[in-house]
Amino acid sequence: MTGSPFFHGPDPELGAALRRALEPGDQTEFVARVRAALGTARPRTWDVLEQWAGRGLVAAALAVLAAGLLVARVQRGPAGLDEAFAAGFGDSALAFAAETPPDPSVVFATPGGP
Amino acid sequence: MADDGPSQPSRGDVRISDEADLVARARAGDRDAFGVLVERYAGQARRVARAVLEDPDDADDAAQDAFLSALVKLGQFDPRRPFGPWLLRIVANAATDRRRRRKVRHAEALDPAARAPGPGPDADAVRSELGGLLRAALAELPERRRLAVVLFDVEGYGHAEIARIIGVPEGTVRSDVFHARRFLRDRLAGWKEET
Repeated sequence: MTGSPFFHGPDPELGAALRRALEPGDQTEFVARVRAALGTARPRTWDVLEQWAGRGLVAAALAVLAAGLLVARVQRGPAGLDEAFAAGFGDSALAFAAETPPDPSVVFATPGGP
Repeated sequence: MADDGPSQPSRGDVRISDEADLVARARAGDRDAFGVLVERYAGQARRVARAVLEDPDDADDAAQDAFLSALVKLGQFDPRRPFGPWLLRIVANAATDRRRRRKVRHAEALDPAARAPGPGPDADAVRSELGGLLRAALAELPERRRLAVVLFDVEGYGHAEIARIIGVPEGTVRSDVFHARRFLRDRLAGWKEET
C-alpha cells in the first residue's frame, strides 16, 4: 500500500478493498429494474422549475426593465416637451413656450417704418 | 456488462463520442439508448450511493432515482463532456438527499458499530470481515471524504473531476482523499495486526 502522505496517485490495494466492500449485488436485476422504471419517468415539478429558472429570470429582468422605462416616461409627462424646446432651441423656444400671445403691433410693423 | 469506470485518455474521445450519440438518442426518446448508459454506469452509481448511504437497498433506490432524474435532465447535459461525472453528481445528490431525509425521520442506525460485520439479518450481505470493517470505517468518515476517496481510489476519477462532481475546490478534494486514506489505512493496519 502506498502510504506516503505525499503520494497522490491511486492506491490499488485500498481501491480494490473498498471496491469489494462496496460491491453491489446482482447488477442484471438492478439494470432491469431501472429499465422498467424508465417508462414511468416524468419530470418532477422542481426539475421543471429548475429548467425554466434561467429563462424565467431573464424574462423577469426584461419585464422589470420595460416597466421601469414606461413608468419613468409616464412620470415625466408633457412637461418634458417644454424642457426639450428650452434645451434645444435656446431663446426662440421661449416664444413658443410663452404664456402670453405676441404683440400684433410688433408682428405687423413695417421694417424701417415709423 | 460494462462497468469499467472512467476510460483511459486514448479511449476517452471515442467514449465521449459514443456517449454523446447515446445521449442524443435518449433525448430523442430512445429509452434503449439510455438503458445502455444505465448498464454502463450501474456499478459506479450503486457503489457511490452505497458510500453515502451504507444500506445497500437504500443505495440502490438512490441510484435508481438518480438515473430517472438524469433522464429527465438530459437536456441540461453538455454532450462535449463525459457523462460519468455528470451522472455521479446526480447520484451523490440523490444519496445525500435520501440520507438527510432518513436522518430527519430518525430511521437510520446512528452507531457505526451496528454496521460492523456480525451475525444478523444482513449477514449475508457482508462478504468478508474486511469488507465489513471498511464499510464501518467509511461510515465514520464525513460524507464528503467518503465520496472523495471512493471516487478517487475505487472509480479512478481525477481530483479535478471529483471537484466538479462534489462541488468543492480541487484542493479540498486532495485534502479529503488524503485524510480519508490515512483513516482507512490505519483501520486496515489494525485489522491486519489482529489477523
